[in-house]
Amino acid sequence: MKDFFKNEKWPLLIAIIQWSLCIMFRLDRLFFSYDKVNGIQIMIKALYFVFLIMLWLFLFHVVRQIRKGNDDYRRGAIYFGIYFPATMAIMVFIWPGTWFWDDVITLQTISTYQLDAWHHVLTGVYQAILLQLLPFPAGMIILQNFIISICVARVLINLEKCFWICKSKNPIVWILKFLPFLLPPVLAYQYSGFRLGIYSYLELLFITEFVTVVRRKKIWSLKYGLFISIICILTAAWRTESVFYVPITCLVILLLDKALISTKKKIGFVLLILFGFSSLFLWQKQALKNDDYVLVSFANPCTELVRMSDPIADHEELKKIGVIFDLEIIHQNPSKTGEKMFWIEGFVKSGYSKQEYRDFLKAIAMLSLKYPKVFWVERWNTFLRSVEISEKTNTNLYDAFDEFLQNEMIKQAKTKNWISFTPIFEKERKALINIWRGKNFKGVILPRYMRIVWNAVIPILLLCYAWMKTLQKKKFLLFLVLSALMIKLPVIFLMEPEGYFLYFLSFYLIGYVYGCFKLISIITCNMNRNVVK
Amino acid sequence: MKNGLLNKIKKYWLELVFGFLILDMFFCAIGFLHKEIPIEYQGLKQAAITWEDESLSAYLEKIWKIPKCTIIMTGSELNKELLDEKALEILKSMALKCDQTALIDESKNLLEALWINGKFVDGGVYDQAPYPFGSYVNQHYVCVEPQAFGSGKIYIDDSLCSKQSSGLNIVVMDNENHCLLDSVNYQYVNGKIIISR
Repeated sequence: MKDFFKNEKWPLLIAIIQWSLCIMFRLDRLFFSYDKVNGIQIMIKALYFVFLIMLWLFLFHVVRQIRKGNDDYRRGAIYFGIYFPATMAIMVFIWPGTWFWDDVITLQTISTYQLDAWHHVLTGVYQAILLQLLPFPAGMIILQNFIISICVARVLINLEKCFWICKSKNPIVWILKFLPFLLPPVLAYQYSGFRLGIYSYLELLFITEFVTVVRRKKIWSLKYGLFISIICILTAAWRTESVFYVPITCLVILLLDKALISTKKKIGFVLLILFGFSSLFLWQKQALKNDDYVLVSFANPCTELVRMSDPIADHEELKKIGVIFDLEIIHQNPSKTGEKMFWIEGFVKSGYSKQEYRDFLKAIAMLSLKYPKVFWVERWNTFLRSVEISEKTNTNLYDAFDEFLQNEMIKQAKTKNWISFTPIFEKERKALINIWRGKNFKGVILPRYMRIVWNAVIPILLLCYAWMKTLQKKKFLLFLVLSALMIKLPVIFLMEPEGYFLYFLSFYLIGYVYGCFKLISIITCNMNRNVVK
Repeated sequence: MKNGLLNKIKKYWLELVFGFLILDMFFCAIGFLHKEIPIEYQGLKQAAITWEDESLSAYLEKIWKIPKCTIIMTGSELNKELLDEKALEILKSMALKCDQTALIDESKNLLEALWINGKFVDGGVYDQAPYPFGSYVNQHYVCVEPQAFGSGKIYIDDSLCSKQSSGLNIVVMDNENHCLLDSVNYQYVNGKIIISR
């Protein structure tokens, strides 16, 4: 411990000074508004201190490793050096980011040191920590891209090891390495305040770390185990459908070779993951206060089942559903989907009991069994809408312009006088957003381009292939690791509330990263063969 | 040669399957081949009655005489050729407040009305699309979505019962036998009244 403080005195000192200056000059006042200090503020300040320490320790560690000549870190620095400036160049044009609706809500809520449970308490905490450092929305996006660039560098190094890729100067190889991180859907969320922007990278990092551990038989140090455990906790807790990461990660850790990780460490990390996840899960559950967040997932299928049901024969089921959802609103809006109606005032009735909630779920299950076709067709149509097959996918680029100020959330945000919350290059920003969304400069949809660039089925198929391949090659541990990701597919299919692309963003990113690296491995393999010949 | 090919297929069957699926997805995306599947609701059963095409006034007289039925109307782009004086007289006798001057005025050419068991419940003539109307009628939910232009929609138990045409859409429901008696559209196009069922 003494050695630690001795060796790391500079990063610790810088972190302490920076944190103290921020507190003394109340830097957060540039974004946050508050009269009294609350518990969340104290927690954020404490976490900000931890964040600064980690950041400076990491930066000093990287510099030391590069000076020592560590090849991994050198390559990582090169990748970071390419990707981060590229994202910043894009940032100038997309300034202040692709803020849309939900992300603005989170931002507005956290600006008074409150947490918005609907978009997960972690989202607010994450945004608040970044906003301590750069207290304006675009600053948060800059820091997000800084973190993402570190993730990209780490992921690229991991995957080079996993795919046994040698150094190559082939420009195609270099393009393929960065291509998945520059695809429009990925960038669209990367520059937004949606949790999925950072989350998909976190998930990618977690998967690649685990695949590297299994494929390269990496020995687990205490530091590395902590790193993996923390990523696992965050990945599993931040999105509900990722809960499977907990049991599968614990199982994989327990199944790892004793030569890589001792039994003591195994038990320790498993306990840490279980404790960390349960704590965050309980915190989120307590913050949500009711089951409305789960109810939105049932709105679409339930609405269709109600519309299909016979008012006389299915009277009992309808009565149970009517305790929680207002049936009259469903009938009054025959052209609207359940998710759209969910936000109509009075649609979800308040004050329902636990028993009524259970009866409601049973009634939906009964109607689904009675009218299976309706249930599956509705789910299928919602899936098609999410993966951009029907050009009806909801994305965060829908209303990201603010020239006409039709977006109520952006309108409200404009009144907050946040620093630099207006675009630098309005026309260029609009054109860039149009191109990202599959349109031409003027905003006219290019259907074929849109259906291919935003198509999430192709990367999902690539992942399915990778998953099946591990089974074919009898690499069961790898199969188990990928199962944690793939098991989310049916869960999202059954539970996604509406056709939002963001539910499949992780699959899109991870799928294309895998696809590109598979191609790189084929190209470099052929190159090596030619050299041997 | 054959064995070599078979061996390669055996070795790379997974690649072939997924390669095919990805290509299929790609071409389907380009060719717009994947479409949403429409959901058809049960709706009301259609009564086994054959209706003859007749003038609007004659038709209104006929349905007004049916005991225990619900009559739902929604109209857009109406004019005096479609709603002649005789038809208006019958509508007035059905307690709908309207006169031809209201309908001659081009800005007031929308109509929405509901009768249950011979009683006028709601409706009138409007100069802009009124709010959608919805109510439980004899255990069924009737919803009318008027449109300023094009076809106003009538739903019973969330199932679209009206024709998708502008003009006057009329739906008649049997309140005793829980069935749909008729759904008809009267439209004035190029000097002619077109009736569609």
